Amino acid sequence: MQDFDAKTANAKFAMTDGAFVGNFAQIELFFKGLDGYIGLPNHQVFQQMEVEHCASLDSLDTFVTTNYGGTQTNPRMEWGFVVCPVKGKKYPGIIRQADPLDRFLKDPTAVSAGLTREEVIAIRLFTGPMFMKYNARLRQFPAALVAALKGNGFVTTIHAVVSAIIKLSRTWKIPYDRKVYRGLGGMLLPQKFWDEDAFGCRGGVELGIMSTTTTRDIAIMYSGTEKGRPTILKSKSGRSTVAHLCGGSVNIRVRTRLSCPPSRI
Amino acid sequence: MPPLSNLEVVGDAHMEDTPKGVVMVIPLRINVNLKSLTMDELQGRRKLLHISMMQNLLAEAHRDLTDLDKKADAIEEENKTRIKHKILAKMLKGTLSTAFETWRENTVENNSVRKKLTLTEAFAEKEKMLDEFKTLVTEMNNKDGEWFNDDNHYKDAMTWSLDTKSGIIRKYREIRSERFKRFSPEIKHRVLISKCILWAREGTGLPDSQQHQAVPLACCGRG
Repeated sequence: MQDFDAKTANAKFAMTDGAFVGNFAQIELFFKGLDGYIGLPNHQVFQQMEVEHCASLDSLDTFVTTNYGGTQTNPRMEWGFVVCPVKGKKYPGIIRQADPLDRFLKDPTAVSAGLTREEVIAIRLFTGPMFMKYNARLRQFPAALVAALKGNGFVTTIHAVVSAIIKLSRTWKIPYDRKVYRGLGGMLLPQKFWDEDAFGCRGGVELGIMSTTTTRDIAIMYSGTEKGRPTILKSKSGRSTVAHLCGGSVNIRVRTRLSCPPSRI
Repeated sequence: MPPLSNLEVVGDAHMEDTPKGVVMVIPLRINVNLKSLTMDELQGRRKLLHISMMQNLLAEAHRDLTDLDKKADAIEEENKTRIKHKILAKMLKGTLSTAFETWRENTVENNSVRKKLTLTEAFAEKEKMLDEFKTLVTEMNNKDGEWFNDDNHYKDAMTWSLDTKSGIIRKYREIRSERFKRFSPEIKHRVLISKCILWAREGTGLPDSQQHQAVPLACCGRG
């Protein structure tokens, strides 16, 4: 462990090439909630989710993921892969199996959490390349990806993802003193993470759906070492430190469709 | 973590040696946003909103009818006093037959033309209408959330609720305004007794018609 001022290190990080500051909201948005931030979902959930992925302005626009080896895909392709996969068809990405939706609907985790069909679809979409679009919508960052949404808010889909997370968190057993980590991928934290506010608090509100990992080394892998700004967040996860009702972070490692590291959101 | 979770820095950031090099570690406490709802809760929101709206409409109807009662009571009292004064003024002028005509116009003929409710009956009618509204709320509450997510159903439910509230108020206003036009049985009885005593004392001025005589005598229990 090196014993020197982290603030100084952060200032040095800021001098490196391509340094950018993350977009975090004020505490007011925390109290406003998701409804107040993106609006309410459509009550015809499946139909609206289908429109958001297959009949919107960006539905056929190709985008590239920042991980998973730079998968090139589009929302309609992803919808087809999750909802009605064609056996034998080659889908974009590495090691992708076109498993039928029923298999996931019958998964014991989904059943015990009481996930609906729409929620299973949403969580499967989120754990694939579509997470980029949903988080771009929520974080309003990065600008290029936000522009590429062409006004598609994915409101109903985002609500379905969150709904699934809440349900899963209620049924998931969280070991005592579990720690979770998050690599910042070279992103700098804004000043409010360093300076106390009038109430003696430091930090900010994460706008997106944040994935974490229980494996420190994986967080370090995503910390931004190659960019010269390696930073990770470390938090205890459990019912004692997060909200009682939501119960903490959710392990969605089970049956995610990409061969990705175990992640917790 | 769901969106809009709060990341609070707890403790000092520090640097750690790792196989990948020196990494900055920031200790956090994460507060999950509790305001997010599940889809089931969100899908049931239309029903929740509608039932809440109906309960509010019912409470508003109850309050409006109470206000209506207060206003109607005041107007009725004012009418009673006004007509009573009108009759007494004519009595004092000695034109008893005219006074009787005034009373008759305001009571007997109106009563014979339209069926009007007594105050007790009006209150009973009010309670009945409110009970019907309560039944409608219960019926709506027994429907599952999915029913409200059908646009046609939701439209119907909204129309029923709003129409029921405005209908109750309109109907009750009519019931009470009908009553504005006549005396209460109590005041009518007192006026008649007063008049009969006056007529008996003076021995003159009684209406000629047998029919007209019969009414006050009947009210005095002498018919």
